[in-house]
Amino acid sequence: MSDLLNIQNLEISFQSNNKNLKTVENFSINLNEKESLGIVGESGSGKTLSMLALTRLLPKQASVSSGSIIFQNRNLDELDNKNFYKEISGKKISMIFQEPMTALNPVHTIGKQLLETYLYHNNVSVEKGIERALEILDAVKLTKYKQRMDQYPHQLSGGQRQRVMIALALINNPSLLIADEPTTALDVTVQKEIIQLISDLRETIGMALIFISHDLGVVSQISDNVVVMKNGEIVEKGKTLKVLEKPNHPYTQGLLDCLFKLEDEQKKNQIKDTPIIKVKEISKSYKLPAKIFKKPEIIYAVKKVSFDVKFGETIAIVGESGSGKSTVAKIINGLINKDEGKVEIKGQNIEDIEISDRAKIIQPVFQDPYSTLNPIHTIGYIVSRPLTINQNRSESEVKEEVIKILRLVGLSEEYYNRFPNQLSGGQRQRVAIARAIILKPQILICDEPTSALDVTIQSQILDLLNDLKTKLNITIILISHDISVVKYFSDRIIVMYNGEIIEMGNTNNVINIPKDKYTKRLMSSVFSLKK
Amino acid sequence: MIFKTFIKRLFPRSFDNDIYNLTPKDLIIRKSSNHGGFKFGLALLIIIFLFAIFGPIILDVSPYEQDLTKRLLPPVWKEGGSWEYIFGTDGNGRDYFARILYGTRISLTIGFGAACVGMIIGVTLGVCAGYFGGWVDQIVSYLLTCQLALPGLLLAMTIVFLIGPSITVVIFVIGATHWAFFLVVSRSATQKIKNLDYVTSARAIGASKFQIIMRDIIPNTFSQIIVIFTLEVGIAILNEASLSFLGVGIQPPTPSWGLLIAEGKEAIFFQPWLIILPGIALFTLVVSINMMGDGLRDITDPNSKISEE
Amino acid sequence: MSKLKSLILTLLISLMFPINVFADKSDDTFVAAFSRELTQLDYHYGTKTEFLILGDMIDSGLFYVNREDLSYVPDIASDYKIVDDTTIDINLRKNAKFHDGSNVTADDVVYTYNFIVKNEKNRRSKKIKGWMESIEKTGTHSVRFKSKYPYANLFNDLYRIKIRKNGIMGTEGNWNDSAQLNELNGTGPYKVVSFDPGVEVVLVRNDDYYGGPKGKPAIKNVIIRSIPDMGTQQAELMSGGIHWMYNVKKDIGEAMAKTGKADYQLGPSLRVGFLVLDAGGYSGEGNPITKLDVRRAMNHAINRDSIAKNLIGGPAKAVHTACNPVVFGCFQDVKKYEYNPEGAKKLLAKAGYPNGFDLDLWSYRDKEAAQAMAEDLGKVGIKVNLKHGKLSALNKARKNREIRAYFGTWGSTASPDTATISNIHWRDPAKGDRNLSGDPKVNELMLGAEQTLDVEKRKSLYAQGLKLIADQAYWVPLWSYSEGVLSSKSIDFKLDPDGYPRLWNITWK
Repeated sequence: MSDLLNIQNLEISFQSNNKNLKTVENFSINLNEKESLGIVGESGSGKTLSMLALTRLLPKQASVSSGSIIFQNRNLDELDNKNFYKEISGKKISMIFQEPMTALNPVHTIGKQLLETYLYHNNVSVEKGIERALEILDAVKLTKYKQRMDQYPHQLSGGQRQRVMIALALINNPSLLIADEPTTALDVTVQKEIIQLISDLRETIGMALIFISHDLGVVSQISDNVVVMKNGEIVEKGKTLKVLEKPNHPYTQGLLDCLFKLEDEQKKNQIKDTPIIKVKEISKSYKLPAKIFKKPEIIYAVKKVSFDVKFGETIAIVGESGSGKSTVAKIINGLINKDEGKVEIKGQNIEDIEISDRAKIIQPVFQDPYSTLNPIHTIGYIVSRPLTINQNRSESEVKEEVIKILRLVGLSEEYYNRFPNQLSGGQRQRVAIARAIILKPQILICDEPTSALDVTIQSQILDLLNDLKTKLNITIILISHDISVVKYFSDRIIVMYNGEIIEMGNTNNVINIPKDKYTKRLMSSVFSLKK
Repeated sequence: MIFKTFIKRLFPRSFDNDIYNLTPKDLIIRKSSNHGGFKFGLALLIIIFLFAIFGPIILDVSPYEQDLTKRLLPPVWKEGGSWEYIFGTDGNGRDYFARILYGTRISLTIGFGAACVGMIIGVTLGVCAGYFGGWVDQIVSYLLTCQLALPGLLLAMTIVFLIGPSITVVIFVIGATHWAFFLVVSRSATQKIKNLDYVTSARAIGASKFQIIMRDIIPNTFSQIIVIFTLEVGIAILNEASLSFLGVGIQPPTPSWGLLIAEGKEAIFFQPWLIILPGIALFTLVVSINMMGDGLRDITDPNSKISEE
Repeated sequence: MSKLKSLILTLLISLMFPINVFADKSDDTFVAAFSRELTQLDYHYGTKTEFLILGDMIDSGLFYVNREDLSYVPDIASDYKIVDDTTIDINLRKNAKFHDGSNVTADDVVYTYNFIVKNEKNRRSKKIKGWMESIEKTGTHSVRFKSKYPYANLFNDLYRIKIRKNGIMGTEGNWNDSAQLNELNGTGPYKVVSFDPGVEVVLVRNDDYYGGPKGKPAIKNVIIRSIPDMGTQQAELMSGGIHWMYNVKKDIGEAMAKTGKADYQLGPSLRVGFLVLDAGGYSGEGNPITKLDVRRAMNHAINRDSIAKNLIGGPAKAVHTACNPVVFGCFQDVKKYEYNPEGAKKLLAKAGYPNGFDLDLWSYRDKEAAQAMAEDLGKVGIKVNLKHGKLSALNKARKNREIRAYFGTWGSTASPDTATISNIHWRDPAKGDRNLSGDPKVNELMLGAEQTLDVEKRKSLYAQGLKLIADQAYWVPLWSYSEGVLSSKSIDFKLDPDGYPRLWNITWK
């Protein structure tokens, strides 16, 4: 089989400070027709940039400084932009992206956008174009596709939009489809369906696929060959199964370790039987602003949720977006007022606890490391603040305590006077954890604490939390959509859907022997490594 | 330029090439040292400030002393002018250069004073409306609508006319008719910040509403507010000139530039410098402030990157 | 296509601007500019000089002020006879006609004066009612006036009241004040063609005019435009849009004349300027102005000669009396306060103000002079807060007794008798707010001088009154003004010795 795509020694440079910064070097890949290649790497590895170079979508400051791209035995460099867009882009090579909402034009209907792409590349009548559009929407298994033709992107769900984007990419029967993290922004159950769809379509249409992801699990399921990138260079190349079984490069090994860790059994903590938190039938609803001639809509975020949290245990609340898990967490933390029901912490009603006392019992850790710290405060100030607000201690005492806690979370003393913008994402999350534990709370509520971090950093933070759990004997409530993290970390799982608890039980039981239909679907969506 | 080497020596850490070493303050200094418009505006403004503060002390000229035998002398560059009166004299025989020089103080004082008054009113209302929402927000929105509906200059004229003109009254009146921008900006900034995790975290650790507003919210709106502030200074200066021109602002013989223009209006054909010179002064001051304001807006934009020239 | 668009746009835009037809000698049209607006045509409802000028063009009174010697001569009247101190018989000329063609008879005169006296809304009412006892028709063209007392300034009032047609202003109990505001049936040398209030009035020569002391006008069409901004007036004069403007200051007038585009005349005027001082303490008991030494100090502090010479120019000069020296009765042998700042300071110290005091000085015109005076007073320690604003604001403040000192002027237009200025300024405080002296003797003397026809008696009363005023420094008399007129080179205009512009006497060169 001849090469479909042959990239040799691609080099991409950025113009900055009158200097040229090489962001991607020595990038070489071969792709045969109908072959599927996975490009794996963390953020900053250059995996997206290299493909943007292929589709000529590089940002303004970046440019291809050397290397060749040969597609279907043609040197693409010889094509000027006008001809490239006419003959190749959107026709022979298509690309789909991560965020379908920004990829689709919000002011045009689905039908118009499909038509536009098709008619640009094919000289046919409008009727033929509509026919083809309907055909491809059916192929991507979009429900009610006839009506959808006249709908706008905002009227579709995330998964549906992604299907439309795939339809857009495939409408011209390309020879090569490049998918850049197409499912990262979607819920887990939908993720599985989309990956399955791409896989099936690849077979039916017979096209090559380049799949970019940071998720080794997904890549292992869908690609024949894999390429691992780090810092702009390829560190490992080869057949997927072989690379995963016996990686050559230590970096690849490191990535795998992180994953494997999550598959192992973990030590259990000292759990007492007495419940430290009692949640009884709490409900919370939001009223949407009333529109003319319509009654105000009410959204029920949480419906009669009840559960107990035992002293010292780690309980995870799992669910997709809209399940109500974050709302429950905020209610328990006292940050949102519930409409009905009772929350008791250590036997006391949460409304009866003084805010300063509550702060010493229960603290949150948030998801986004970039908004969790006030950018104008120093690290020292951020971490010392809980102390200065709630306790009356001397400055030196406070500083000492802060430095101790920073060391506990793995940050040296020199970070005391730094500002958040000088820290990486992982370091910021450490600071957030330090801030949460400095008052020695007995309960930590972690709302997706690692979702926004790279895989390697993720595992570091999870290790840290585990460590603190044992050292300080903290009860942890973990909110997550990532089943593998949950499996690694928690004793019990609560599964929520649409504001209600679907299933509750021991982690192993729920994951391996799910009772409810939804839970089953959820658990099966987890991509574990094909072994 | 010289400016940059000077700044480099003052703040060496700002020019470290490793971006991770820069504190937020360093970042701002670095970005400002690269922004042409900001540097120009700031330099011009500093020169004007120095003139205003030290000019009257160093140069021994009086804007009030009249010499009726030396009326309407032309400036030095015109036929009949002399170095004794560089900018000539006005209708009462007063040194025009001195009058324009002292007028700088008036414009700067009123400009910054009124902008401060507006800022205090607008930011207070805006932060309260943004943070507390609900009926507080409704009341503030109502106040804002009223403020925007009132014709600013006419209202200012009426109030000054009723109370009586003086520098303090003018400052407060202009400030009290120009807080709308501050309110809108601080309100929307507060609404955005209020939902960020670090504010939620502050609530979780038990900070009081007041502490949150003062420590978390307001400092993070600062960059946006300072931009509005500089623009409002320019607006206030022009407003004062308008009020004085119409006779309901600064009273003679105090040399406000607006007043100078009003007094010179009749002589526009034969002694045009009476209008042109204060006009140039006004223009220069407002341009420098606006350039600085535009520069600040670019510098404090969180999405802007450091670009070396 | 775009060329066509821009052509259409240009046409549309140019239509937005009114096209100014430049009138001039070739179509016998003279255009004058007034600074203050003519808001209506009826002189009985306005007081400004502008209204008097217009009034003289389109109306006539029983008498008129002769331009050569400033004496009163009969106008609608043909002759008169003084029967006694309080009675005067007047015969009317037979050929006077209203603009609508009807003859002027005794009925019209009687109606006019009764209307003035009985309708309090017109502005002459108080003055005429003050002296007129009765008016009766004694024949188709003769009337008899009876006054309550021997009234010295009678002829001035007989000049000011313009004759209206019988019945045109309504009837008693049902007066129509607006009858002649926007159109006028007058008797004057010009008729009104059109009137746009506040903008312009267009006049045409009345070819049926009887002649009389005003003479028949040479120019057929006259347009008077209201142009409040002095700069705009200059521009119009330079471009030929107007031929004549007055109240032109020395600086502007001389500069314009230098360009060769216009003639500038700076002649004498009856107007005088003065500071009125609250000697009577109406604005606050025991305030510094109530002290004689303070008022005298203020008189010494101001450099009148310098201001008159440098700011006003022409024949303007310092005056030391509460009247213009050239008019009847303006006795000059009074206490004169020479410019003496040191002496002023000493007087202030003597009065108990060694470091001076703060003073609000109100003014509404002549800003440069006001500032010059403020500076002069400042030099002797009186820190002036200059309240320069509109005349209406000053009138209001004076009515509310808020004013401690103000800078005013009085035109005495076309009335060369001290009575004109003193009547309004020294009235009984119960009848007006301008007399701030707090001294009943002043009222007695100054107004008494109007109430006799005996010339010597009048002179003596004015002499005593003016001496008292100067001695007690109730005023700071300042200077007499000059009247400045700019006229285009195509017209021949001469300023009269009273500075009153008689536009009906203008001719083309």
